[in-house]
Amino acid sequence: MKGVYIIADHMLSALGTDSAAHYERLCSGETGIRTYDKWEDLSGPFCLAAVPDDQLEAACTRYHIPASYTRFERFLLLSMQAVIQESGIDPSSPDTVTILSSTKGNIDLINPATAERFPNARINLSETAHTVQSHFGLLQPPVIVSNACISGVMALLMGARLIRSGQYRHAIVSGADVISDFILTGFESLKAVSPEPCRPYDADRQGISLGEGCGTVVLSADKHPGSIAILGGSISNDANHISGPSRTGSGLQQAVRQALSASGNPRIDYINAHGTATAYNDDMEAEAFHALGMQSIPLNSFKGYWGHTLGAAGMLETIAACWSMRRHKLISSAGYAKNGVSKPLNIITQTQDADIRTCLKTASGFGGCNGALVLQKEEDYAGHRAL
Amino acid sequence: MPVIAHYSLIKDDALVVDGRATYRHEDKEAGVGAFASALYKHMELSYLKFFKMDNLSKLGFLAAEALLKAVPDFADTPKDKTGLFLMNAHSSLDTDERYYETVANDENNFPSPALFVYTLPNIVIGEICIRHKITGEHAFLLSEQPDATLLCNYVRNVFDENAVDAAIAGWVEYYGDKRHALLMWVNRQPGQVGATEFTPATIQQLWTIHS
Repeated sequence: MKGVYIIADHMLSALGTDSAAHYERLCSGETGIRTYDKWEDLSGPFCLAAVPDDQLEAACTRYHIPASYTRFERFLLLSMQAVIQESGIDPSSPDTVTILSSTKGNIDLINPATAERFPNARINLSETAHTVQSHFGLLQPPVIVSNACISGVMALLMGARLIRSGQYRHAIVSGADVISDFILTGFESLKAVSPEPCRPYDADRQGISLGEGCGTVVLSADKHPGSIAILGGSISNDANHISGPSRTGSGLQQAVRQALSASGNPRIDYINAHGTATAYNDDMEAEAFHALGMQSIPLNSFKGYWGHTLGAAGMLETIAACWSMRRHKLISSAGYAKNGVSKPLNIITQTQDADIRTCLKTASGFGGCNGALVLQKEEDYAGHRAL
Repeated sequence: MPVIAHYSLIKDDALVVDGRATYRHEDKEAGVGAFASALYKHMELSYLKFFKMDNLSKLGFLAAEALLKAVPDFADTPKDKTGLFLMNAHSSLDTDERYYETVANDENNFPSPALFVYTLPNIVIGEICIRHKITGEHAFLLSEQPDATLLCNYVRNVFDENAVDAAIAGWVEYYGDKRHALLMWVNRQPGQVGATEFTPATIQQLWTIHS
């Protein structure tokens, strides 16, 4: 069985425009969630984790991404350009597959005011595939994964499988979503949005904070110093309800069990969970991790730092987990103070040094979907402690 | 090597199962709603959740009903080892537009949660899973045209990993009154009557003869 390694990464969110900036701010406990009096034509206040325009412009300038692209496309293109430069791989090689994950892509173009500058068809993610293909001169349009909030985890697993089967040597996997009035009104209509920055697993949690951003990695069949292996993963469905998780977390349990079994059942040192801060999601996760006997493993959610970034969530969170593993740090779960889930979990309340060899990443989403990935750094990793 | 053991197809006014037309709607120009309701009645289904689904979900749901009725061993297939891999070109855009009308309506601005929950393409997977208690691997992929190579390669990867024993794979598209669903039942039992190897060429052939 071939190994699959994460050899380069890039993060863009309210917290910064590169991975190192994200890691620094995670360690210092900064959040990117701010209160906005209004969003476009909608009157707030809203707690959102938006990418600041000036920072986006500066990053686009650095990577030569013109303003003729939409906001969503610029997220993808600059983040992909960053990992292509870092890894030195050739995106147009027949050995390289490109996979994009997003829930809604250019959905902000559904607003006629935003759409003016772009042709109608641009709203389709299948069209984004062509935009990205021509920007980078790819042989094939990217594969597009659109599977609610597990899209990022699913795209990573798909990339890992396509490499493991020998079809490709490299995969560029990128996930992005932007905040729009479409998404904001939708989550508001479901009464799922928190009036304060979200507080995953906390007793006073009141719902999600919406975020936006992009996370991109290069997966490779070749191990590099400092790379993290994707040992295995699994996707499951609750078969219970389209917009609420199962009470028992049976679907998440199934995904975790199968992911562990596909990975050779390693000991898990750390869990980066989904933790949206809705009442139902966080309780479901607590039930599942208890049923799996994983309740005492240190666990966090990153959503208190950059909100729920939907199709980017699995990407950004997996990358942050990789940084935690490489830097030997358990990062505190922002917004958490007092246990508020049906069965207590070992939530990380203080950022601390720890040797993390193996990490479980999970995600769940609308449509009853769950995803789990097992990440591992190499035995001899101590040699890279200075990195 | 997995095989295509059965397939169902909904195109315009017709339902085809394993190559035989089993239903043809009398009104060729009927909208998707009228067509879906008529097909639901014709199949003598009794599943109230059907009526709250969006058009994409109704289409996928009906194609799955027709397909699984043709699979004699479906009841014996472990549901956690049954996969569901779908693609289309327009995601949930039909419902996205309907939802956004409830947002952009200045006089009556009540964004509809009932529509919003259908503004993701993988909800049709969720609906089929709920109906048939399928809990296995799945994915919703978007592609301008049916991508037989990608679908075949990925589904075979999942079979090779032993993550599934059987899967529903195919295309479910609804936008601008164009409806097209092709679902294949893929499993590992060669030698079945009518079974075809699951390859990009055979998938493409099914797509071509029915489009």
